[in-house]
Amino acid sequence: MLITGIKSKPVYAPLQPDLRGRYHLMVGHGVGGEPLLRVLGDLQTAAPSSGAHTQILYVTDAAAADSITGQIRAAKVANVRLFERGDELLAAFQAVLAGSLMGTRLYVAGPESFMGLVMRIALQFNLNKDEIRAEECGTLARRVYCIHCCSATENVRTNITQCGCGRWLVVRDHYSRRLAAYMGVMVDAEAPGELPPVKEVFL
Amino acid sequence: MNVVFKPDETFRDDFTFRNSPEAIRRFPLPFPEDRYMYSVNIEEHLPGPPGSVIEFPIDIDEHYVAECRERALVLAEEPRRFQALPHMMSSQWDCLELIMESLARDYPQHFALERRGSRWVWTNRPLQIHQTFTFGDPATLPQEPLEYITRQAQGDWVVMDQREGDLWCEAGMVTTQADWSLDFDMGMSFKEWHGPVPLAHEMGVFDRALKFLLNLRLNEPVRRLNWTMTIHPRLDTSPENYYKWGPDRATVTPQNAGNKAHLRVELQGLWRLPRSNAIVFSIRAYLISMQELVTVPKWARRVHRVLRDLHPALVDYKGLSRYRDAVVEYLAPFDDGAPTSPGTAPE
Repeated sequence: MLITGIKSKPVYAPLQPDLRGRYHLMVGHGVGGEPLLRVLGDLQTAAPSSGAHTQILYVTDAAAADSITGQIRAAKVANVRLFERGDELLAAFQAVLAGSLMGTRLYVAGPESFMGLVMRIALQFNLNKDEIRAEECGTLARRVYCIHCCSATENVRTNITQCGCGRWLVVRDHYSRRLAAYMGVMVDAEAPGELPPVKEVFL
Repeated sequence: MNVVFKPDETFRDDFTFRNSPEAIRRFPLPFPEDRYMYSVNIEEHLPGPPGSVIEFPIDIDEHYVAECRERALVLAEEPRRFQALPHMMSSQWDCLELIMESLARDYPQHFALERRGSRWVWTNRPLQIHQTFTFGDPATLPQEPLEYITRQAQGDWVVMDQREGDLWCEAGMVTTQADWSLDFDMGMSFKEWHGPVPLAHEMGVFDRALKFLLNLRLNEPVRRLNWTMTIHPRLDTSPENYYKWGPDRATVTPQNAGNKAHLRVELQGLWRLPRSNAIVFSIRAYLISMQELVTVPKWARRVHRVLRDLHPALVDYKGLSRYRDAVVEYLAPFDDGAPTSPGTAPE
């Protein structure tokens, strides 16, 4: 069974402004604030009036410097909303997308797991690849979907993790955008109790 | 071929599945040579010799009734083995039409389809089903159209929507799979879906296969064979149930391999669908135990050589690591080193 090097693992790229967009929606978490500020600067240099059609949703996070939060709060855009928790941002993001117009460009930046949850919502609204820019930064901790009990475990940092159902799962690179999670498969099914060494790999 | 069904066979618990001598002779061996590596081995799905598994576009064999019952057992426990995204309804009707028309045309002794405008009457004698419904109106069937008809068909069925130059796995009935999950893979692009396959991406196999399939034409279906191995004649080797069947892999010895180890061959067919422009991908699994296989001397020699020399990445990917050596040891006495004739025919 292939564990690493699986092609469904999402590949993200540094954020670039898209001047064909009429509206710009920026969504970030913690250290993701930095690339958002960078792309916002690039956008406003290239199209000085774009700020009036830009809004930012951002989760403040102890991992990111206070100065980033300050700069985001002060950004010259139509609307800035700060959240303390990721799930609050996701709910707001969903409501914004429901009211968004053709020509909207989405910019996403943050840690692995946050990216996946945002992309899942974008997928539910049928945004296509041309409408999304996404840059990963911060922790690579994963959401892991147990293929046996169908529940997800958040913030997995190790190659092997115990699911709520009690099984020890090996975390594969196989990724579902629809579930916003990597696949976890019972690691000792063929030889009960034989666990490989547990290592921190998703830092 | 006049099929005699074996309705009481099982693919779980006591595993009473067996192949008759006729079923062994028509087994679709996937190895035209004594060694194996991936290739884009796609060919036109043209009718093959009478009695072969490719005589008709959709093969019905002696295991039909038992396989349909096995599917119903899986679905009773895990309804999510059938899934379809809402925009796939028109392709569901396309699939229903394809399967009903093929079976009624090719097996008139078992199936009948009467079409009067949109009012259709479907008769399935082996499963004792008689259904009148309105084509295009899901309310007139007991399940969604794809679920309804694939409960009456052997093999797994996946429907791929075509857009943005890609094929998206967005509907399917998957209960007889070799270790992949429809629930997990729903909504994936062609390459995401095939992500866990080693080597083939680097060889460009999926680039070429995707390009080929995007241009697949109506009424010109294609097919290929794929294979792996399974311990016991177990159809449902899903990742979901890996904890149930995984332990079997550690129990194979040269002494029991003849009975336990099965070659599992997938006859994969792909059809363009007329209304939806989607593609339906059928994955029909044929199982044969090693002791059944060695009744054909050429196949015993060939499979021995293929397994013995298989690329290590494929040994791992196909899940053979724990028992490949035991199977090779079981087969070795049947391989006298004589050359094998080209092609896959029994002799």
